[in-house]
Amino acid sequence: MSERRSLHPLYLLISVIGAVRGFIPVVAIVLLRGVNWEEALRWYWIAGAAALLLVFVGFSYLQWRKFGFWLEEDRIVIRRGILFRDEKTIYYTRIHSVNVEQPLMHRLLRVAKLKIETPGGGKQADGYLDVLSMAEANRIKSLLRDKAGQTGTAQAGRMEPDRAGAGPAAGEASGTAAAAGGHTVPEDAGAMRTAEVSAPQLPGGVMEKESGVYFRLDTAKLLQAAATSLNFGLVAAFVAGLISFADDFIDLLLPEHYWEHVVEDSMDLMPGSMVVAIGAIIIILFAWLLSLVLYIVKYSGFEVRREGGQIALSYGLLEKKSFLFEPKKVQAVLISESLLRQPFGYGEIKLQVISSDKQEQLMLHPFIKLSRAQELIDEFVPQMKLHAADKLAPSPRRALLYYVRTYLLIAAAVCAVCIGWFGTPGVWSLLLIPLVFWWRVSCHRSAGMLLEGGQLALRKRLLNRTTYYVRRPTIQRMKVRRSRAQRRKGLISLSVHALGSPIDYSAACLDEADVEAAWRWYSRSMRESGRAADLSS
Amino acid sequence: MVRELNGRLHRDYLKAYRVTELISNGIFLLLIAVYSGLAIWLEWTLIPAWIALGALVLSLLLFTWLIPKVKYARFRYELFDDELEIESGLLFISNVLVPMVRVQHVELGSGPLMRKYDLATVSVVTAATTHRIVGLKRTEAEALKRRIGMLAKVEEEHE
Repeated sequence: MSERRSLHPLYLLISVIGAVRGFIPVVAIVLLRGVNWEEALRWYWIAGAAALLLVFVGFSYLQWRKFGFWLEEDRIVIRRGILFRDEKTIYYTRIHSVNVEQPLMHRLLRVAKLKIETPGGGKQADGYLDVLSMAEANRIKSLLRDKAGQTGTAQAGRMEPDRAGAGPAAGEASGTAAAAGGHTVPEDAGAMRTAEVSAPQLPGGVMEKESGVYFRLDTAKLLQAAATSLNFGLVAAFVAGLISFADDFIDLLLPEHYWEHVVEDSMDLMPGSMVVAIGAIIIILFAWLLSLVLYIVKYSGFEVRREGGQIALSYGLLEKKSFLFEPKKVQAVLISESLLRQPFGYGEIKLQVISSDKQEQLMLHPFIKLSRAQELIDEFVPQMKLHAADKLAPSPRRALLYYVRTYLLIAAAVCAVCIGWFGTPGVWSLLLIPLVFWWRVSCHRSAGMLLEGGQLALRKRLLNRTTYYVRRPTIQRMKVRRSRAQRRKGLISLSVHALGSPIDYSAACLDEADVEAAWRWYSRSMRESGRAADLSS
Repeated sequence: MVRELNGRLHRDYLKAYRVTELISNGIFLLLIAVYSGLAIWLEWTLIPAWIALGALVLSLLLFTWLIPKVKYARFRYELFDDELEIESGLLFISNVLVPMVRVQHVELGSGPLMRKYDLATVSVVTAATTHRIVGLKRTEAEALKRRIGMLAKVEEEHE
């Protein structure tokens, strides 16, 4: 058995802070309620707090003592636990991706957390090394990567880019450190370029096979991307989190009936319709600003590198995230164009990668001119080819009915309720109907599919227009769906499922002939006819 | 979607399905009876009981008569050498194509009621999804399971 290794001693501090942090809301509420300081400074309160702290420290120390990991020839063994011992063995060949993460506390203390992901099994199956020094984390990461790479060398070799001139040994330690420091490399007018970073070799004698920063997002691009992202999902999640957190505080901080007074005062000054209109505009502006800020926090310092045969992503202002994975683990490519980006031909590229954390598709480029997207795809996921947007077979005109019908009915019902409830001012809600109609028509216009070169492309719009590219071997199953009336009209919806995402990807109400071609193409027992259809298209 | 699928569920499944629905509706009826009894005793209003009774009749018609019938009639499946195709649905009819190379394992299961009718469920599990064929005769399900198990062993040729 090889040498036992421990976590960085700062584990103690981080773990204690984590435990103490749990008490912050309680303390905050107590403080806001007003405290009798004389009572609070009695010795037994202080002694109690100190004892509690001591317990935390002791507990953390035991945890740290009992935590050990061994890097063996073919596997890593992690042991932890005070009362319940837990031993985890992960074979290098089974490792899916190795991520170095830096939550806020870790960043301040200049340490990192290493996460070793294995396929399936969920979070339970992942290996965590909670606190390591940056150098150690990077050393282990590259060690694991090299070990994992030994089995997949054929694949890695094929993925090796032909940029022979790229720097021989760009230390990822320095790369990450630079990113952590918030530096951005000045870029020329183009959206990307190959920046070569040279640095001393890593300690421990692990050589970088090849590594170079492929691109970084500079501040100007980040601002543009943030302003056009319209990432309302992020906003909704943030606001929901904020509300659940702030619920307890708002009553304490604001005088009673504060909001009622504010609303009443402004209602008196303006006619009702104005209030609604201005309110709507303010909410939209606020959501947009919030989405901008959250986007910057999430993606600032965005950087894509190539490390050996693998792709390395890192980003984040407060919480630094980094991902490392093999190109062959990419299941699908998503190109998404928000409403504000589409007119300018910009979009973002995401990759669907198998990971235990199935919630999120990984961002490969947050803001790229789509005419140049193929260069990036060639570089990182050479098996994929993007199609020109106009080549896709659109959803036929006769399908418009099915796109619009249900939503218009819902909108009409909402209007009816509004008018019934508010009387005359409720008539303004009728504006909803053309808005919904326009939205659904643009959804219909966006829907389409294309089958070409062993690859299926599906496109649809919810708010952003998203195109989904997937190759035949990665499709887990294919599904079609239609009602009787749709069948009579030759319409059908197509959805495919690939690993790495909990949901299907689908396009609704396409032309039956197009979908049938895809069906034959995917079917293994109708293979020959499928090939013919593929060639003819 | 393109071809005619020949596999059907067994006729007995319809019976088992309806019996299950009758049981849940029976519980509903019991609740109504309890409420009515209480209402008469304590002189509450009987209106909720009448509404619930109406809902019960509707639910009987819909869930024990119509939906099982349509679902049964629309369900088709067939196992080809390389893939399993299942057609199912109520208002929307969907076809699913599951390649044998993606199948991880097959399960056979049946509840107490299903066992009474000698029926079983075949679950085909892939890395991402599970597909169920509910309501085959036990022997038939057994044969299907064995055949899928055999076919699923084949390695995928490289593209």
